[in-house]
Amino acid sequence: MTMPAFDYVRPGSLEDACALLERHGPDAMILAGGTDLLVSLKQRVFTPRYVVDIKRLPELQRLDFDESEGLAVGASTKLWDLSQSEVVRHRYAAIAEAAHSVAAIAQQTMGTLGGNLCLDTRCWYFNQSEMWRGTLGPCLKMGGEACFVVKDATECYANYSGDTAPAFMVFGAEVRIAGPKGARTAPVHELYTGDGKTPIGLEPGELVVDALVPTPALGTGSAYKKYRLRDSVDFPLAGVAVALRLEEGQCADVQVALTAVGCAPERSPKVEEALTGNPPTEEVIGAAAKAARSQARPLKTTVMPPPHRKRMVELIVKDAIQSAVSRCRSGSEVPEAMEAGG
Amino acid sequence: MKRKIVLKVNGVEHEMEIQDHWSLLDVNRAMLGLTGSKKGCDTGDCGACSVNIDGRLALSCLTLAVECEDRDVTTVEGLARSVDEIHPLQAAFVYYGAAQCGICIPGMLMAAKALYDRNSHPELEDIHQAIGGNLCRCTGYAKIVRAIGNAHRFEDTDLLDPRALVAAGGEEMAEPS
Repeated sequence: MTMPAFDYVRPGSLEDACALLERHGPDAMILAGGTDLLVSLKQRVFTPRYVVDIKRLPELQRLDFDESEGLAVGASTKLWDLSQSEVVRHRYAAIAEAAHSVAAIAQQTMGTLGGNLCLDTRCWYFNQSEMWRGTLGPCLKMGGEACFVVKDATECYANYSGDTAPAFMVFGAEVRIAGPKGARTAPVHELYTGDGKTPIGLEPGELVVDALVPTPALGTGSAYKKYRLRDSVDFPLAGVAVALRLEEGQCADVQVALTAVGCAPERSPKVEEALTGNPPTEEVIGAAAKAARSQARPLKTTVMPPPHRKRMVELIVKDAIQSAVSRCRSGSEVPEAMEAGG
Repeated sequence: MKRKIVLKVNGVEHEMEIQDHWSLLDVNRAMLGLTGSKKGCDTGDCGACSVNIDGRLALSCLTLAVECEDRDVTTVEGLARSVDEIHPLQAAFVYYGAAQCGICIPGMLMAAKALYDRNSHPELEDIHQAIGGNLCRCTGYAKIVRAIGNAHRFEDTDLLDPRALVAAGGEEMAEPS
């Protein structure tokens, strides 16, 4: 497959990048790692006039941790570096696991955090070659009239498949966004519109600069679990991030977020409720996992049938909670986690 | 858009005129004649086009050639350390007969090199992860994994002297189960 012709632009500063993106609107697309964009270009899902390479912008490069300020991850940070960072592995295990679970190692050493957070939604009827799509005609996401997933649908239900977003959400992270009207900060979940067609809530000219993650409370344990067809490369069919603390043997500060079972990553208040104030017994964890299963609404956007994915949500939620709890316990016994942070 | 760039591949700087939308893979194969990297799926699923850019694993089908200005690209052709000193991974692949049809091998080698450079004594799990993005259509993974796990035993091996291969020292990693 060849790529459609475009002009490659590498702006020298953040201001230039925002100005370019604003001026050309949908005619310009952001290139960072390229692992998702270039595939879509080859499939002619997008045919932009300009491809704006932002990965060398200096503002996007940081990966710092400070006990009082927390973690700051530049949008150009490679997923691989994020997953290998000592402090991320020890203090933000779910983030390290999520970054390390994206596709295979080549995609992790190429792909960036910004790209993964702003990943476009995917659908069995959308992410296909031009010829494949041509047999059915354009779907809603391609600008057509019909949805092949939900009959008579008026909105698009494409699946959000980012792995890192839920992990950042459970730590209460914020993203800093630069734009032609200046910088703004938003909680990670506000980056997502919940609309399958235009899933990322960035104005024309805006781009994510970095993610700021508060320092987790002492004794926090976290985990990210993902279900996919082939463990080595695939997008998630369901994913869950969990962060919690144990207070006198009972779950506290529970944060749970699901991904890949809807148009946006979302917190799961029912699961959090089921755990909060209860000891992490098999019974309690089982009930929490059931709550996740009834919340998840996967549709026929992938090869796997939705009922199967719902069932798997229950299993990975159980797995993630158990993993987070065991990290809480070992964290309080092993001071290594604290040392690595300082 | 057409533009002139200097592309450094395997230590050699090439001044060339390319189009912005040409992939590194196409430029390597069609313009530089470096046909070691294979075009398997061209969408990042198979790993046959794997190269190293600045010492890190990258898929050349999902990299624009123009992105690689000021970067150091290594393809499988640049893997050998010199004319008469092959890379230990290459020696191990030969010794264990790791190639069947051979199409995946350049990608396997480059994925393995990225691993070898950070950990020359990998565990089985490390190897599985390192080549997780590389498909072998012959399903000949066992010998590939074995070759990667034992590559460190072939440091300083001379391909021109087959006895050196047989005499590889150190303890052999067991056959993966």
